[in-house]
Amino acid sequence: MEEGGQAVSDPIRIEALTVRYGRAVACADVSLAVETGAVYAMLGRNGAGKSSLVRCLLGQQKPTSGRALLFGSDSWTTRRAAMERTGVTPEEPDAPPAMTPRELSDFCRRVYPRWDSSAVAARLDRFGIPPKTPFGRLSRGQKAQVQLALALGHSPELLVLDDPTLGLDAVARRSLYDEIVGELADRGTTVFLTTHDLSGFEGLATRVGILKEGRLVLDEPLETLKSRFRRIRYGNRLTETRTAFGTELDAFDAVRVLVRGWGIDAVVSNFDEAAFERFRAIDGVENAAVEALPLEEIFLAVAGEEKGDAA
Amino acid sequence: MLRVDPKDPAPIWSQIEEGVRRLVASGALKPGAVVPSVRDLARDLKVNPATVAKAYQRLTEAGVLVVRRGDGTYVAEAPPAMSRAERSKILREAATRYASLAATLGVDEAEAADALASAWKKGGKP
Amino acid sequence: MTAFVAIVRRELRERWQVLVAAGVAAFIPIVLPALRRLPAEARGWTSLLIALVFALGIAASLGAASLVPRIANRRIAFDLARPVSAGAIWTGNVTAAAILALAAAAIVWIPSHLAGSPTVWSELFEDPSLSRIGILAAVAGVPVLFAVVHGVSLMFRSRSARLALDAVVGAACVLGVSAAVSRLPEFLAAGPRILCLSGVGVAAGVAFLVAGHASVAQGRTDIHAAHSALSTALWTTLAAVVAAAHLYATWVMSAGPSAIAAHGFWVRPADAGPWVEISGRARGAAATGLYDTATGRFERTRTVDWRGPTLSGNGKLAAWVEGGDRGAPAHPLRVRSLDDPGAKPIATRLLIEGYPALLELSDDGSRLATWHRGVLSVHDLVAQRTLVSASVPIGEQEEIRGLFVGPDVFRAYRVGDRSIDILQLDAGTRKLERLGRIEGVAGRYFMTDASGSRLVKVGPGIGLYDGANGALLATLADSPSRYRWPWMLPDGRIVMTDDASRLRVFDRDGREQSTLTLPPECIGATAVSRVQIGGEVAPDRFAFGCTRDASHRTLWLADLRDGSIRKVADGLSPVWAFGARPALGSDAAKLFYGPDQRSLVRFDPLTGERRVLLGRTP
Repeated sequence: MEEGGQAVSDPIRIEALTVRYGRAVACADVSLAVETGAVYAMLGRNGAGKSSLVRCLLGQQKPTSGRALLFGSDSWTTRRAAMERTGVTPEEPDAPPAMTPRELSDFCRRVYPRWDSSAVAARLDRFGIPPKTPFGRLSRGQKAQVQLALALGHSPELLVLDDPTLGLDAVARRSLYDEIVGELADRGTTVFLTTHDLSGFEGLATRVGILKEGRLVLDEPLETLKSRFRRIRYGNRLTETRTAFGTELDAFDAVRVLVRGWGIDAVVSNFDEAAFERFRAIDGVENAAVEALPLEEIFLAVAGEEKGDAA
Repeated sequence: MLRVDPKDPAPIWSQIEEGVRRLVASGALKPGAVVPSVRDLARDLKVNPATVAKAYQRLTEAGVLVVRRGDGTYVAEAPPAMSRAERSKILREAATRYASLAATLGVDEAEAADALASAWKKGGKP
Repeated sequence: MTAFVAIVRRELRERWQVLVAAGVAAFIPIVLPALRRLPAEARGWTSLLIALVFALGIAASLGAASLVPRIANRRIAFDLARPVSAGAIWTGNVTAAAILALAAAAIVWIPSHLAGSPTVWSELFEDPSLSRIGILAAVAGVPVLFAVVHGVSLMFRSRSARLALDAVVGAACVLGVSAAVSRLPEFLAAGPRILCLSGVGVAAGVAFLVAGHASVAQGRTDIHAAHSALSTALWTTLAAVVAAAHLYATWVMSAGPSAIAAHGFWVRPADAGPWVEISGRARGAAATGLYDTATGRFERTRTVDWRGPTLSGNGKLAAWVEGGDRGAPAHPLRVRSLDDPGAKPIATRLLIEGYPALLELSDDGSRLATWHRGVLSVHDLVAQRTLVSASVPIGEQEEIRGLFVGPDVFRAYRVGDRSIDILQLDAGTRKLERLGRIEGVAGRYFMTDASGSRLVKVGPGIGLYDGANGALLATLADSPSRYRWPWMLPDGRIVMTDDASRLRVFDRDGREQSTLTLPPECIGATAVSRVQIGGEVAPDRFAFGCTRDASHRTLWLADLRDGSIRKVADGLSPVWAFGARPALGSDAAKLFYGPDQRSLVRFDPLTGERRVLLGRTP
């Protein structure tokens, strides 16, 4: 069944979600949908509203207005049932520190209708986690791995991962990617993740959203995103006919323009080949070169931050 | 072997497909050789298995790869020979794009040919 | 269900160390008395005390440490990201805390109990049967304490201004409850008061448990929302509880005469007029008041025990002193005019000390006599001041009764087991006179006529005396018999049962006038029949009731003109009160109790007209 272009059975649908804390707005009118089997990467700086969004998505916080739907039902009212089909890893590890990984798996076994204890044990083994060490005494990376193992133990249809590789070293990150890729390969799990690690998840994401100051400023398939963003570098030499520059990039919807010593360095969001040919023909435009951008650079340009985020 | 370039605007599945084709055409992947499973390749490249699956599916439809149930995916024994005309067309199109790019950069034919020769040496072979 | 069990197990596993501490503490009551040479009882008290400290301490500390910090630092999200309901989280934590608290208490208490220390728990209670309820309350109190500490610590932890609102509303609820409870004074409604307090206590406990659940279910990871949900649930529930307490208090104290008549009740009519004093229990509280048998109007008076309102002879004024919970400070005398439909009780300027043993109004209601702790006084109710007081001490077995014989003259009878002293206090001359003495009597029952000039004394025989000087005028019967009982008719004639088969009538000087033979139905198979004379409904005609047994009462009309007796009703018996003197043809003469004394009936023996005023007749 189709409804305005979104299937009703989408694992995630967020409709006009707004979250306010007093006068501060954390999320402003965010709407998006994640289809079955998609991997949705939500990018945003710290404080952009990602955590509030995820909490509202999971029915852990009531939005000021709007709603979040998991599997077609309002997550605030049907949280418990939705969590049977969802696996969650939080940004900050929140498992009870006194419980060992084995006890945690035991707890989950009682709580979920299906729980594959042996698969969880095998996963922990793969990660090299000692099963009888209290959670609080594990390293940051180990904690993240345990939380991911717990999130996967009931073969969820949907994974919600809040910055899963934050604070992890390269080895831990690698093992996390591998597990996620394995899940995708085996079960086609739908994934919704928030991240700073753009290069890591660039390959996995099928759709990207960018949250800037609470607003969803971008929400599209990764492929189209990469096809329309380009970096154009060119020299601009004043000639007799051309006495000023300013509008030559208009056709490309430039999002960031830097004036350097040698010329202009611009990131544009609406690139097409024909328009570029015309651009090159503009009097005064010299040595125009275009290159594609990795996701990280696209994010920096759209989210508007000069410093790179922690990778 | 296969690389996925984040800076390449071409979709990942397209890059993978191209990459496999190149490896097969250059002889790095011989007919009958086993090709990494979807899952393993996805792991190695850190890409969505669905993306790899799509590339493999296109290659299978094109006859470059063949799937043997329960066994894995292999390079087809006799990868389809492109007709001369097809090959020519693809080659000419690529050459036109290359020449155009070189002209944009203000490079002369000699330098362009030079670059082509070294790329041939490096990329054509593993 | 399984999520609930999983949470309980997890919490128990995390905090089992307290049981080890309890195990160590269990040695203290066993070892301590031996070290300090205390009696064995000290062991019992020590173990009880330590057990209580553990139980309450664990409940309270877990109340603060289980959920509130996890909501504040959002770690409760671990449980919320799983298919665990908010209900399972809340009840799981409450249950685990209760198990730990009670197990720790048991671990401390049982070993010393086995080691032979006495159980001192029941000594905490006045009524031993309450000790069981006490245990139940203590056990139930553990989860409630958890919920209360959870609620309070949440209010503080959220650091929002709502805390001030909570304090205000909380104080208002406390005031509301104490206002409701104060409407159920201990001296009148001790049972309902305890019921109200217990009900409020239980409801408050439930309110905190419900509010705690709401804080988890609606708050989840947001501590402000949790506080808000807690406050809303808590205060709306408690507001309803306060309202219910007030409704209950209103219901108890607004019981009318029909509610009083539903159980055993007692009526004392005015000598004239339709008003009576009605007294009994209704809805768990003692209920006394003034009742107008003509119109059904009812006015409850907050009087104690048998010190209900007294009515004047003309039936137009009632006076009483109200009770209080704090003993007997000086009370204002209250009066109410009975013939004015719109009248309200008035607190006069007369302050009466304590609850006087004697409270008598003059016939016209303008004067009041009181006796309390050896002081006899006459008060002017119109001017609202005391006219005269005199010292009239009484011995241990004596009491004071009396009546007004003149506008300002009160005749007092100090009656003991062997004698009656006749005294008179004159407010005009301000003198107390001793008029006479009647000696050689037994028992305290006597009657006077309305003027005080004649006194009939029962015991050992039945004697007729001059009410002023105590001179013996005639002996109506000289040997004791349980079947002889005198009544006085309004004009002073004396009617006496004799040998349970006859009614003898004497004039006011003791001369026998006539004898009526009681009908056989009146006498009864075993000849133990009680005869009770009612009022004189018309000149020379009076009603009397015969009670053969509780289920066989009959009412008869005696006609002294021709000496005849005829039955007029079944099941009715005259309303009779000690010291009452119903006037000729008054309303009081037509008031009767129905069968089993469960109803009040207005019945005219002459015409047979009957109307049930209160209660039911089968």
